[in-house]
Parts: sequence; structure tokens; C-alpha cells
Amino acid sequence: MARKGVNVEAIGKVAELVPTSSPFEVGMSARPKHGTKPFRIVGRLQLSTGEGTWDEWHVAFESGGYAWLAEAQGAFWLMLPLPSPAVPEWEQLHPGERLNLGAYGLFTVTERRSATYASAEGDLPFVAPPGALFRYADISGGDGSLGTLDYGDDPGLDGFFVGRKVELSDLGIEGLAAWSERKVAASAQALNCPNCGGALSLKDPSATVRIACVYCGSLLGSVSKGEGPPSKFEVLEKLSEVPFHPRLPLGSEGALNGHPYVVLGAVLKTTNSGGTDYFWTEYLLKETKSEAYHWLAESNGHHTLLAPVAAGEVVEGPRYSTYRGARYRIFTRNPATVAAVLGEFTWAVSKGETTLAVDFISPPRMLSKEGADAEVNWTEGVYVPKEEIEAGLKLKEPLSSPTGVGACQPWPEADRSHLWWRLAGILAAAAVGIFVLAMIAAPRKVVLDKTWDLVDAKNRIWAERGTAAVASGTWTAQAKGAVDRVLLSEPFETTRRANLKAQFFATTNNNWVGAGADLIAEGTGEVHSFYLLSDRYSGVDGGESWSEGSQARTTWLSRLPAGRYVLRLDPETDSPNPPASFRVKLTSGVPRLFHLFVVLFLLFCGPLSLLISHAAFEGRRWSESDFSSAGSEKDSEKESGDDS
Amino acid sequence: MRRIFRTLGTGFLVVYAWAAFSGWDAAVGTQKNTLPASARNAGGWRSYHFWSGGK
Repeated sequence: MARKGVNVEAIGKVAELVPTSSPFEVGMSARPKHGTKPFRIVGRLQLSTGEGTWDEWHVAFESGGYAWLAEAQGAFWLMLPLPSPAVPEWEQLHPGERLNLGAYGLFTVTERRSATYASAEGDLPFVAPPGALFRYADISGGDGSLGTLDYGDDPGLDGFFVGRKVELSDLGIEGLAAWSERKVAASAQALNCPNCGGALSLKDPSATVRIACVYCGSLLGSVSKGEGPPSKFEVLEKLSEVPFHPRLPLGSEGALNGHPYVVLGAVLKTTNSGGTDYFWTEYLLKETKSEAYHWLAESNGHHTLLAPVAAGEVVEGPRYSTYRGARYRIFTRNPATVAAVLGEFTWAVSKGETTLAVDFISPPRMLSKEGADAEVNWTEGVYVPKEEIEAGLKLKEPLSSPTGVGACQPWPEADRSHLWWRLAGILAAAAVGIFVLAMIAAPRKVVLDKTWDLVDAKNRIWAERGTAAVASGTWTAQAKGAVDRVLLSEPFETTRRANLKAQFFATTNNNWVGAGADLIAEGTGEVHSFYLLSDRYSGVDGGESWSEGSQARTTWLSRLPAGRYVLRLDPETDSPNPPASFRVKLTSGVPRLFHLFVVLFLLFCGPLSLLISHAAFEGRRWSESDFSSAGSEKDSEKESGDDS
Repeated sequence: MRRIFRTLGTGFLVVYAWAAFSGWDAAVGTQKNTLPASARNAGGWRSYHFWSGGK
């Protein structure tokens, strides 16, 4: 029956409905818990693209109005008709393009196809003659909503529907209990391969469109445009042996990342880069709780579990894409070709099918886009260590160890690095605390600060050999023909055992002054000998100024006991014009900042070595990429090839 | 590894604390000697000859 205004028109007998795994039936009533008005399922429209068949359920609200209940992206959607926005014609739409629908917001075109009305039952809001062609485009909103642009069979837009995801349990549909029985019935089916006779055990027969026999590799399907149950499948492509051996057993069941899965099929994909063929395997998984289809991609032993995401929630850029606030960096962009398939598939998979695959990474996560002429799909997922695959799927044979670094493999030392940085930070803070306490507790007492005037004739120490001056009261100079004077300081005292900072300064300018120093403990006769130096040279060489040396230098003495000391200096220079004076300053008990830096360096050695290890790890990761870690494409030829 | 790092780090901290409060220093370029008893009087180490070896 089809409605035309208030009239109802009988459209007669239609084709037989294809069995599907849909939980709904015409006549069911729903009393949703919240947000949605009560409705009744009054009709069912079955559609086909030739590669698969799906149902859309016509629901009539008790308060008036209608909507469609559909299943897509592994979820149920209630699609409401809305006033049509201004949109391009169907031919001008491209999967992946962003549409600004004004008040409705931004949407991404995910699919642009034509389909036929395959069959129907019950009451429909329009005439849907079986076999009639119509064109549509699916769009995805930034808030995760799903929309459909219904173009009918003419260029203009006939209808616009936007839906939101609904949970089956929230819809309050009477009679849904029977679905569990149907799910069980549809969850397994045994049949024999029409080519080799091998016993096939299908895990998802109600949705299976293609089967690649796990014994002979032959591709099975329905000759009549993908319709019909697997029991009626025929040989579409005959093979005598399996084209490849997936590492995961097809049909195996288990749990990954807390979700129950069954492995349905495996697709061997290939791409050519720089004249080399690269292969990887993508496993089709069915999440048995939500009935959603996920992917497990395996490359060089590295696994990534991917689930479909709404294209409208992805903002794609040339170098980065964002999804729900997370930013992913582009890693690879290649045409991916199906080299071989095995197992059961929910679409008409075929060898040679090529899509453009673009991977963005934010380890351990990956955002992946697969685009073809008619549709674009986004998936997002996380790296799964092989040990989790082995345990989750209860594999009898261990998987081979991964080679190289996976695209979104997390750095194995990340946890350790975090702990080490944290520990180093705590210890470093403690070291700074110790330094501050030492500064507070240390005497930092200047015990000697004296400038020796070298100009005063009486105190001249730069006497010519053999003409040394007479000793002054505080120091003794002994003329012996070959030496200058020796200086002795006044005695001074230190109050506790501590280090001693000896600073020496002279206004040297392209000359030098040195002094052999002896710190003599009057009580014990201990002598600490060291050398003090001031030298400063500068000039211009080849138009460039240079300088070296220093007018001031410091020497440190260790753990000097408390006591009375005298400093003896034996100055020397070979300059005809030495500085007029030099200054010696001795400070007792000065905590050294240098020691703090040494300790901080030692504390951060471990974390820093991990940082270097991380950089090397990332280097190995990005050596496998088509792009540099900054996001620019490595091979310009490849880019031009892609653009063409 | 974490235990080793923690032990080493704590060790560094203890040594640093001891050095900071005791006044230890590597004292690079310094030498320590003891004057003979005969040189400890005023006429001893204060004399030029004591240091120059009579030259």
C-alpha cells in the first residue's frame, strides 16, 4: 500500500522479501523511554544496490507524522523528514566533500549511489514500484547525526532526512524478544563449497554477500545481483587453492579490548611504493554484542583494531585530521588494492578492487580513511599488542613477532619513561631543596678580601731581577736575583669545617698574572697549594673580534677544617706592563651551584637516555611513512602521481 | 630497572646532601701537604728559603 495524501493506493504484488537479520517486523509498536514519541512500524521497504540488500522501516507516530527506522554503521537510526535545504545536484556530489546545509550545519558526503526498490510490505508514504531506480546520498553530521539526501529519479532533491542514533533497548518495542532467537538462528550456518565441497561454517550468514572458500579460495556469491541466501550462492571465481594464509584463524571467536568478536574474513591488500609491493591483511570482525563490523589490520605483525566512525565528526586536513578533539598526523596515503580474500564478507568484495587509503596516526591510535568512487569510510582504532590478540582469540599457535615499528605502535618505554621523569622530578626537587637548605645553613663568610697594589713603589712586586724591594711589614720579599716578591696575608680564621672559595681578579688585558698560592694552617701545619690566574686576551683577526681567557677565576678547596690560616702568594708575570693590582677573596662555606647541576644531570641521565631512545623509535616509525614527521610528503614524484 | 633508578637517584641525592653540608669539593688543581714540625715556627715557613729551597 502507498499513501497519496489521505488516500491509500494499492500497488499490488511485489517481489519476495529477502531474509535479513533486522530485529523489526511490520506491526510492532514502540513506546520509547524518552525523547521519541510512541510509534508503530507500519511498512517495510527493501532496497538494493545490486551488491547488497537492506531494510528501511516506515514508522508512523501516534501523534501524527512519519519517520524511517534504519540500520547503518552498526547502529539503529530514526530518520525524520525535514524541509529540504539547498544542495548541489546528485551528479555534483563527491564522497568526502563537506556540505554546508545552512541551519542544519556542516555535513560530509559519505556515499553517493543509486539503488532500486527491491521489495516492500505494509504501508509506505510513497509509491515504490519494485525495480524502480532512485538516487541518494548519505551524509554525516559533525554531531554524529546521519542524513540522507533523496534525489529520487530526477536531478532535484525529493526528500531530506536527518536521523539520530537510537538504542534498541530505549525504543521500548514490543515483541523484540523474538529477535534473540532470530539472531541465534542467523548466527551460524553450515554449507558446502559448490566448487571443492569443503564444509563451510558461516558465522554471519544473514549479512553475508560474498564467501571466499577457506579450502579452495573460490569466490562464492549470488549471480542475481547479490540477492539470495548463502545456501544459493554460486561460484563466481574458481580457484584450486587458497591464495594466502591468514595468521588469524577465520571463524575464531574471542574478545579484544573488552568486546566480543568473531573473525569473519580476511582481505590481503597491497600497494606499490617506489617500485616495491607492500602487503598487509585486514580482518573483518563482527562485534557480536552490537552487531557492528570492525576491522583488525595487520602489517608486519603489528595489529590495529579499527571501528567505523561518523565521517562528519572527522575534520580532514592535508597534514592533520581531527576526530572528537584528538589530532592525528598523516602517515600514509596510497591506493590499496585487494590482492586476495578468504572467508565471509558483507559486501561484494572482489580481487583488484582499489580504494585510496589514508592513515593518520596519534599513537597508539589511528584514524583511517578509505575512499572509493561512491563512498568514503572512516575508521578509528587502537594498536593491539600481539599477546592480547593471542590471548583474546585463544590462539593455539603464537603469532610471529612484529618486525620494525608499527604505524601506531606506542613507544614500549612510555610507561617507564613517565615513571622515570616523575621520579627524577621528585629527586631533583629534593636536590634543589637540599641546596637551599645548605645555602641557609652555610656560613658564606668572607675571611679574606685583599687587593695588593702593585703600583706603589714600596709594594712593587714586579721588580726587575736582582733589584727587589725591601720587605714590608706584612710580607717578605727576598732578593735573590732571579725571583720577585712573596706576599703573605694577615692571619684569618674559619669557624667550621667547610669548603673555601678562592677568587682571583686582575685587570689583565692581553697579559697575564699568576700566583702560586699556599694556604697554611697555623695550628696543624697543613698546606693547601693551588694556583691563581688572571689572563685576558682579545683582538681582531680577519675583521672578526675575538677574546679568550678571563680576568677573574675561582678555585675551590675541599672541607677545610676550622682554624687560623695564612695565605702565601708567589705572584708572577712575564708582561712588561702588568696590571696595577690584583685582588684575592676567600670565602668559607659556599654551597656550589655546580654540584647541584651535576646531581640534576645525573638524575636526568636515565630519563634523557629514554628520550633519545624515543627519538630513535620515532625515527624508525617515520622511516616507514610516506610523509615526514612534520607532515610533508617525502616523495614529490609520488605526490604528483597521486594528484594526476 | 625502576628500582635501580630509584636506588641510584636516592644515592646521588644522599651523596649530594653530604657534599653540600660538609663542604666537600673535588678541589681540582689543589695539593695538600703538611709542613715539617721544624718549619712551623715563625722563622720557618715564613722564610723565603723554606719555599725556595735555598736558591
